[in-house]
Amino acid sequence: MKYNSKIIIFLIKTMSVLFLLFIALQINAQNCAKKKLASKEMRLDFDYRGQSLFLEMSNGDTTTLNVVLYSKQNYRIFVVGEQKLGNIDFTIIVPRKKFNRVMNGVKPKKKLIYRKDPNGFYLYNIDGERILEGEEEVMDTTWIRETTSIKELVYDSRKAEEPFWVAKPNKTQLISIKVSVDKASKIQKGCVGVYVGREYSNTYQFRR
Amino acid sequence: MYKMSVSKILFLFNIWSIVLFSSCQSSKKEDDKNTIIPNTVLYENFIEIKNVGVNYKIPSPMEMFIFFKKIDSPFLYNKIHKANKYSEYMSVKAKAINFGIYTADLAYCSVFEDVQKTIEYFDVSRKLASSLGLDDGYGEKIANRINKNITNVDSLMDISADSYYSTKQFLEEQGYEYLLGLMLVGGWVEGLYLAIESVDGIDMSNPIVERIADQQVLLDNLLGYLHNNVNNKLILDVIKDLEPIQEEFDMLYFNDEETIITKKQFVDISNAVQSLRNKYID
Repeated sequence: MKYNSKIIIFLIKTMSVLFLLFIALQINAQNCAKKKLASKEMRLDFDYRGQSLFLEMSNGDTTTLNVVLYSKQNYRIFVVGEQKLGNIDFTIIVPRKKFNRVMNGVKPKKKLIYRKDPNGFYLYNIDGERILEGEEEVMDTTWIRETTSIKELVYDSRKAEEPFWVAKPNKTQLISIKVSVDKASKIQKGCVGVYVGREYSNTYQFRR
Repeated sequence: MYKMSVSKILFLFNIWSIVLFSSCQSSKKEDDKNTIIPNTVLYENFIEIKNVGVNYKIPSPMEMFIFFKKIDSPFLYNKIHKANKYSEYMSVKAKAINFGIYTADLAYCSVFEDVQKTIEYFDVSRKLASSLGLDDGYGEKIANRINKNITNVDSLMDISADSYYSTKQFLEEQGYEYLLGLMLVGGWVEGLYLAIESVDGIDMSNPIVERIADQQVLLDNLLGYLHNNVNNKLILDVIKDLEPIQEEFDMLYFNDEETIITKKQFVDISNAVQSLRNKYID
């Protein structure tokens, strides 16, 4: 009986240690955003709060971050990670979508008519609801969209002179940042930061 | 008797260990499910190559409001959501979406340097955040920062930005992506609504019109984010909610290269946004 309770205590202790270890691993996995991965010299005076990504990656992992860059604003993008991960490469791709509108069919459809102002904007009653005027039957043409996508590579860290990409797009655009951590025979886990920085406006100088 | 007890204990221990370590595994699998390209490729040297997934981010509404301020657009304080309505939202969906709407209004007030309204909307955001269990970003620490910087409008703007990003970060870290999705939708709709309202009628020469057309790209990314979390019913609902706006924005893809947006497209987008915003704040 005495032996039995010793075993129980031993198992409870072991379970507690394993549980604490499990919790510690979970916390460790979630702390990447709080780590200062990039130096001040690398960050410069840009605001990285909006669209940056911090995550835990292992050797051999890849990830993609899709962000939106507003036109006529300066951006600075780079990727850094913990030293134990070794080399981390990234490419920046601008996907350019082209659409063709293809008619799918025509079918009658009942449509509610709401009151509009001379410019075509809906008018609302005091409760904020649209004002119903009646309904009509319309011939509804349905369209399908044929998409073709061209991907333009604008930065490759393996070939670039600088470890960062700076841009001031003429047009607001989506960009894809593809990150890959080098393979290694002994796989390490570590934090990676994909820094997407927007230059502070002169009118509003943030403290960071 | 003794033998049985020990074997039972060992059995339970084994079960517990399996549950513990499989929970690590399943959370990883759950993460993978949320990615668009969850393929796992096994290379010849047996190093497992994982694709950690595709992540989507959109600029905060504040970035657009800074642009409004730069071009001297008027501050439409009477167009922002009523602060006293916050207590009427009971469901998680309504709370989270309106939390996003109020944080956008907070950003708007802080960019336009209205200290009184900034404090008022910070308070409303804090209360809604708290009812969602999100004290990160709107807790006592930040409230103290506001009190200390009450006369410094630049700091207030910085603080409201910090609050927004801390909450976003907290939700991502805690795996509450669906709440973040709802909040992002609310904030995006409110930002777009205020942009539309900032254009006087259908003055297509207003530079804000171009920013409104730009929201097409943001919507694509926002939908990408939502589709990553499509296993949640509330997220499915908001994807459906966004469909009428998406349909109107899709029409922009058919414009020729010189035309960013036509008057009709602007009006159609405005109507779709107004309808959804009304649905959310009611």
